[in-house]
Amino acid sequence: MSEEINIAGQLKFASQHLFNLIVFIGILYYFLKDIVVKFFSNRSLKISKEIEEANAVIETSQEAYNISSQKISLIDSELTELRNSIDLTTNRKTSEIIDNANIVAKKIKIDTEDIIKLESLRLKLEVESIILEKSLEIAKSEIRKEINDEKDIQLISSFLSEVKQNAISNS
Amino acid sequence: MPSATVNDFFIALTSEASSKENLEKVYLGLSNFVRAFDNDKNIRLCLINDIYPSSVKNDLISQIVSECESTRKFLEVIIEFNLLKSFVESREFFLKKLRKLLGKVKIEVVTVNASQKDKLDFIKSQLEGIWGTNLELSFKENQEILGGIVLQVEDKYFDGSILGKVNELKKINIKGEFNV
Repeated sequence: MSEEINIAGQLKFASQHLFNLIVFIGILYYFLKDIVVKFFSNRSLKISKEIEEANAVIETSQEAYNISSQKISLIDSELTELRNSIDLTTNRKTSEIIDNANIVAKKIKIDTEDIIKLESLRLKLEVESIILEKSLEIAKSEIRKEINDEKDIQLISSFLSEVKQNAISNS
Repeated sequence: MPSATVNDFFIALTSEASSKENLEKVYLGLSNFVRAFDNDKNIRLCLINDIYPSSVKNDLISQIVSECESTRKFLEVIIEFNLLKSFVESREFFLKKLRKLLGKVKIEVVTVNASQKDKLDFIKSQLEGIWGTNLELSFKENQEILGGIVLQVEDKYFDGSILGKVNELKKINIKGEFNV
């Protein structure tokens, strides 16, 4: 019998506490409902705003990226043009240098040929002159052996006759 | 006022020595002077140099040209007028002028041997046959001419030497053609 009284007492105690708890929750709900709702609403707005800002930053960045990309592609195309121009100039200059080198080489070739011709002619004449000199030396030596007073007087007489003839014809 | 030239004094000299004999003396005197001037360095230096007084130069001229008074005076006047240099520079011209007045021809003969009298006589007779007997002959020896004769008759040059003929051959090229 006492055990039954305890259970009934305990149930009563539990139901009282449960009721208190429900009342307490109801009071809490009544008082805190707006504050919590407001808090979460504000928080939701803040997050939305931050998301918008982030989107704006992303868009700005995207635009900056696009502009930079355009600039990079412009620079790239300019670089390509510059490279092509440099290549063209280099090719033209190289061609000019090669042409000039060819002209100079031809001129040098012609000059060298002329020099060789002149040198060979000079050497030929020099050799001929040496031969002639030697021949004349030999002739002089032979004449020295051959000449005597009789021949010398004949030579003088013949020459003076020639001079006399000239003197007569001139006068 | 124009000053007198050597030629003026020379004309005066030749006018003064009107006879041929006198002209001959003048010519001999001037020839001696020119020879001494050309051959003796001391005489040349003394006469040309201004540091020597006129008296010294006149004494020197008297010694060189002792035979001809006119020539001596002529040279003294030339020195006095400071014209000796002009005269010396044109000495051959004045001597030639005198030779022309005298009808004389100056011939310089070059042979291989100037000691053979027969040959020289022969040459002399031949030259007299061409330019007359009034010749001023001088003979020089030069072995290099090999043979023949070279004549310098006043301004004219006649080369009849073997060396001259040989040198003419130098104009021929190795094929035996004349070089143009």
